[in-house]
Amino acid sequence: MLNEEIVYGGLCALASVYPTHVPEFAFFTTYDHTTWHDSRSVRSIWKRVRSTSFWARHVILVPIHDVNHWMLAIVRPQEARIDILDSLADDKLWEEHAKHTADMMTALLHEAEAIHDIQLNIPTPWVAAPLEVDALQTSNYRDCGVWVLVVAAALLKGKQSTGLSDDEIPAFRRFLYHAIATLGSST
Amino acid sequence: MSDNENDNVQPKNEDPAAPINIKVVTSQGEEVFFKIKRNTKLSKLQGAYASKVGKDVGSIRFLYDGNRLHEDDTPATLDMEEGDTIDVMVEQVGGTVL
Repeated sequence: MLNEEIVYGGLCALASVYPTHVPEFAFFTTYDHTTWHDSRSVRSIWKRVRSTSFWARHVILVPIHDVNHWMLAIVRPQEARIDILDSLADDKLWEEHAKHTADMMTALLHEAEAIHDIQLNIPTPWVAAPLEVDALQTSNYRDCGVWVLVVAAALLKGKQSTGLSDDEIPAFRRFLYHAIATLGSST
Repeated sequence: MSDNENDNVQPKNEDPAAPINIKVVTSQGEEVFFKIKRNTKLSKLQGAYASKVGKDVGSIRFLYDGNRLHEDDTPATLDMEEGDTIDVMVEQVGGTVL
């Protein structure tokens, strides 16, 4: 069971451990998708994400919190693509969140255009799909937050997905604990 | 008063005891207004908000301009302006304990 401080802190820690591809990435906080879901407030989200320069990045990682479950949206605006990691492998959940994520990203990219007076290729429509993870043959609820970070680590290493298995999750948890503990005190 | 803009290096509001109105907004867009002095710690506002909504202050996250508020932050140290907004989010937990 992970809370949002560990999920977002984990993303920051992984970015510190695997810096090579970080310039291609933008990391949204766990609050951004929730705020969009709750109120569609572009202005509230913009305040939090503008410093990431997400409109200029190849990959935007958007953690998704659904009641008591963590998922991850992997957004690639230049490919008009959104992949959704759902360790529960639910048939419908990914689709609903992919739509929310696409709507949010479209609104935020329009906001970036307006504020920075730039022209972006804003996808219409987006293509969305559930992320295939070989190790997730059965749904995994307990480790959902850890799987978000496992996949983020793989992406930061330049891979498309992860080859980690369920058996290796305890070792990844220890690695993650160490990475977060040594992250430092910056916000 | 100087006509030269470069001479005017004074902050907008120097009086640390001057009150400021701050809006606390949830992710659903619900708003609660507070009036506090510019040198009052925002932890006091956080406690008051938690009491008002009947939640443990430890389960609520307060964000100003995207950043979490720190224990000693005040409107003055954050250079807050009249009518500024603090976003409030509840703790998010996922997964389960065996």
